[in-house]
Amino acid sequence: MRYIRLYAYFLQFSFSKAMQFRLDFCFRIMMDCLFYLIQFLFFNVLYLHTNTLAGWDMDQMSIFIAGYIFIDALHMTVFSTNCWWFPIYINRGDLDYYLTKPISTLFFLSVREFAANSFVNLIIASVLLATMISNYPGEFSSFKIIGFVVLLVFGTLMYFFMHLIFLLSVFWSGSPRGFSDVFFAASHVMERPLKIFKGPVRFTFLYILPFGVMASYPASFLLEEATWEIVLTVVGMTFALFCTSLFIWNRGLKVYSSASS
Amino acid sequence: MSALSTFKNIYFMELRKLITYRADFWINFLGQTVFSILIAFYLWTSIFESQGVDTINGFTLNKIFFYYLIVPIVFRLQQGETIGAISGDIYEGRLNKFLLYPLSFYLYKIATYLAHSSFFIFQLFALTIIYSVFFDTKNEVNFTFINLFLFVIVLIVSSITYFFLNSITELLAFWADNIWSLGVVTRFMTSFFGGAIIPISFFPQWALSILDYTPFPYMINFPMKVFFGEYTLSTYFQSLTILMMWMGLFAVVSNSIWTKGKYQYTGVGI
Repeated sequence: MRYIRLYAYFLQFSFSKAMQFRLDFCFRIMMDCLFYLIQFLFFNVLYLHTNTLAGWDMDQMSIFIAGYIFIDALHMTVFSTNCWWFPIYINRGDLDYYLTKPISTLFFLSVREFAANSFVNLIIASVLLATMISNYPGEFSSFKIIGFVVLLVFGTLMYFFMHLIFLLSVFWSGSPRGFSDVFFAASHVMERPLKIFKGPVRFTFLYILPFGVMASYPASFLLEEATWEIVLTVVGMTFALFCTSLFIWNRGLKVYSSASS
Repeated sequence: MSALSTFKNIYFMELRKLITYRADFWINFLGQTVFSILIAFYLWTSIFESQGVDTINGFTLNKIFFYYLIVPIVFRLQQGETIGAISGDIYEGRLNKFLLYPLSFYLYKIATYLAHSSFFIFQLFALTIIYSVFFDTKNEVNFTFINLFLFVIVLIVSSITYFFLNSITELLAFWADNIWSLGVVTRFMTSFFGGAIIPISFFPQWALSILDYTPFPYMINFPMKVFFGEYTLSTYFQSLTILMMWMGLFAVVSNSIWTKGKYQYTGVGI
């Protein structure tokens, strides 16, 4: 209950802060809309040269694209700004201030900044997702649609935990941004259907760096057979990543040497 | 001290700063390269297999693989410093020193920008050599001294062009409260319409005709064509001239914003 009340305060602060930077508010909406447009344009150009990709036609691919756009928008809204600050706090030794607070430091730093400007984009992404589903030539049951959206939320959590794992390397490397560049390069795996990958690479993107699970599995749940295997893989991988990030965080705190870190 | 000597000193000072985090730099570089290549390889293999062809739009699988190995570095090289290199100075009041230094703000910023860019040149040539040793590139690239020389010239001009284009959005920080997202918009536009995400020859003809009137194809597609040796001297100089005209235009716009903007500057940071 205490955490819910605290999160409500975070939301209040974030919205009032966003209203002070109105121009940035508009720029961010524009930026994300352009990102969404480019994702659709990219696949449209690809489909000029092929009829199917990973067994999906353009209608099916549109749902997959809208799915990972939704994950991106949700991550941008809830976690992204916090992820930006994470390595900075650790490098500058600012973490000291947060470690002394009587709540979980990881929780505090993970959700403190709610990107109110990206929230508009989350609404746009949701509308996009709904449009792609309703425009699809076939029909989906309500169970499948609800399951798809729930799995996308789990996909977002997986995306955040992976981001955190890459960022926490800053405890040891002392570099300004951790391995965030590698993370962003790897995160493009999420934007491609898992079925295009083969052999050990597919295994890696499924179980070791599960970017291939985040959007592809929810899309498979909706577009193909809705199996328990999909649900268990998504939920299980999310839990495994949560435990891994928590473990690395705790190990990192042991080597954290405050301002000289 | 001459402007050239100042430029050289700033350039090397920035390079020294950059190599502070060597391990971090190489891990990021290797990580980015590996993921970018894996994604491109499996995506395009899947497309080539589904179509059952050896060539699409003049690209063999081997050539497209090589393209995706090189294009992210060309793109990063052109990006130079990260977004916020100028706007950060404005917001945090660090611009004061540039107003007091007896040297041009642009000279300083271009020197540091090119230091960041040139860091990627080592990666570019290292990757090209490694790839050429292990894979057959005779059909894709014709490595000659003149080719490489012309390629480096284009890279420098396209980097400075991007610097001026980016500086236009950065300098809006004199008026706007946060311009980070505008920088990202510029980056998205350049990467997609320039050919960093997909070679622009895959675009429909009508789109290519429109793109000809924008600077984007000259910033990535043109250097890539020079790299692959797909040019004649006349097309090279024609495209280089157009690129330099874009650079001149962006420089003029950027300078006029700088001239007006510095009178808005309060010197205390936001």
